[in-house]
Amino acid sequence: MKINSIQHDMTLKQGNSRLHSHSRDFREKSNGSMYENTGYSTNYCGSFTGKSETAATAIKKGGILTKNWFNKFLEKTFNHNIATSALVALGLAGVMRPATIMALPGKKDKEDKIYASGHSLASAILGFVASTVITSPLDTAIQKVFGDPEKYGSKKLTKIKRISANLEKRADMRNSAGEIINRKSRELFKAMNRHKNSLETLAKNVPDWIIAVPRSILTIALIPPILKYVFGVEKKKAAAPQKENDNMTPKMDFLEKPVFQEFKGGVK
Amino acid sequence: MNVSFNTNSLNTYKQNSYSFNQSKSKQFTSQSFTANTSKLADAAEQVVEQAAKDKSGFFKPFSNFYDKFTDNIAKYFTSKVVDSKPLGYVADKLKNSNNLFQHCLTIGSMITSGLYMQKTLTNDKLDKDRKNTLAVNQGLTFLLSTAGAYSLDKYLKTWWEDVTAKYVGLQLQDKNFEKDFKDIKAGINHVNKELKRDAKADVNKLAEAAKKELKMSETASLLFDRNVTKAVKNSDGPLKSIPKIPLDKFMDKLVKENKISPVSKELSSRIKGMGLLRSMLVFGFVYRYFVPVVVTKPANILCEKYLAHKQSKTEENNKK
Repeated sequence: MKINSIQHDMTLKQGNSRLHSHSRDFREKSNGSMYENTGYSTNYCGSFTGKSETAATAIKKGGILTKNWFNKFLEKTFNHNIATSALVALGLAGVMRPATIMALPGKKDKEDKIYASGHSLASAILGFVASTVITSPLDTAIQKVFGDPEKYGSKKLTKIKRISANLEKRADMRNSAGEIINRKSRELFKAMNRHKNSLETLAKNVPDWIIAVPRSILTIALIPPILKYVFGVEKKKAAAPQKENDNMTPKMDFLEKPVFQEFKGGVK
Repeated sequence: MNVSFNTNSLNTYKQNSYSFNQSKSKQFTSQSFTANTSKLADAAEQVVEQAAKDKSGFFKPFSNFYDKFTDNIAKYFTSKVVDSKPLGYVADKLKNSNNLFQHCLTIGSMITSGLYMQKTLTNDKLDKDRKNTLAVNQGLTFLLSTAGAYSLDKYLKTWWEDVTAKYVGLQLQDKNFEKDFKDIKAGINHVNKELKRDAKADVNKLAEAAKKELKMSETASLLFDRNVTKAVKNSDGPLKSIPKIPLDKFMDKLVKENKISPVSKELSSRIKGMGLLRSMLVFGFVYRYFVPVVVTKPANILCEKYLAHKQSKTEENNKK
């Protein structure tokens, strides 16, 4: 029997896991060897349906939204608010900002630009590392407490879980006409869920407020040595005659200091 | 040697046999076996799984330590914080807020900005005038950028919701999901626009016209009609507008109508993650990119000019 060509089912059913791709490779190899030896071509399709074809077309149009890494990134975004925020900041302050600073016109202050770019990059890296290291265990602990409050001894969440389960049953009860019978339970159920979600969001983000000050102090303290020893960038001191001129027309020298360089209008 | 080739889906090929050439079959002269590819695939998967286990075995002591460590945090810290009265009070006050995460980002930035303002005000090398002007400059920059971040976040919300609908449609492999969601939204906008123009217009006629114009699917029409009926029923006087259906409610309605299967916990997390990602990108862009690159320098120049102007005025007064 003649079989034509290898076709993979490109639907999301198969996913992109290594496991699947490995087994597919295995099939390909087997089929390939048979083709080589027998002169037959092989045709394999996991589940070829009209839906799969439509899904494959949709995937092509989906771009980044269909990528497996993007799914994982979104899960991390939900579970690790602070670390993901710091990652976004890393992209913006570590890549985009230095690129923009360097691309801005003005040849005279090239060294200042390099220093500012290095400063931005170093602060973004430090911010990301500090946030991730400090908040990741806290986020995992939050996931554990909200997942199984009885085990970790949260009386409040245990109570919410118990009451919610009872309310959910009552909230969905409908009469023969399909109308909701117990509106009060429904409202209570919704309110309780909102309270729980709000509690979870706060629990995930409050550590950011606590670490904000020490993180800023740490960043300010570590940036000059990092810039000097890692990036080889050092802020040059102003020449003596310039200082004299500065005395005549006051300038904001202190703005060049790390503390003020760090200021970004309310950021980490 | 005969190898019977069988795949999971193409059962029609079950009976096909393939012959290997002599040179290769020499290696298996003593063997004659029937290889089922699904079994082979399973075996390959087992090998991969075993390899993954071996790898995880290497990290096992670390993961065990991390697990115990986070267990202790959960037991002795997180549960206590979650049960605490102040957090419960704040959570209760903010439970109806649609921008809770944005508020959290703002508070974090406010603390950092406050730190820099405090450092400015306690700087001994600066005179009083300069200290105050700079601190006000920093405070104003923070306030304006925060207002800008909230506005941009709100402005992008509708577009981002459409992107999220597209994402959900792709995840559910439902090509109608995105279109139905957008059609209902467009239908509601159309009716609300007409109601704004003519408050006495017949809502049902407007709804029918919108459905025809948008060529709504059966599912979209059903949900759209229900929303219109509910709005009419709930309004005391003449109907002013039809409430919009957010994505999460749209999904709930589809689940109740058995049009889609209940959303998994993972997908639910990802959808929530999409919403958070928007705010992270917007607030991050404003605070970590736009403000330092675009706002800070002009703000400092203005501050400098103001101080120079103030100083010249003082000097003039002193001369007089």
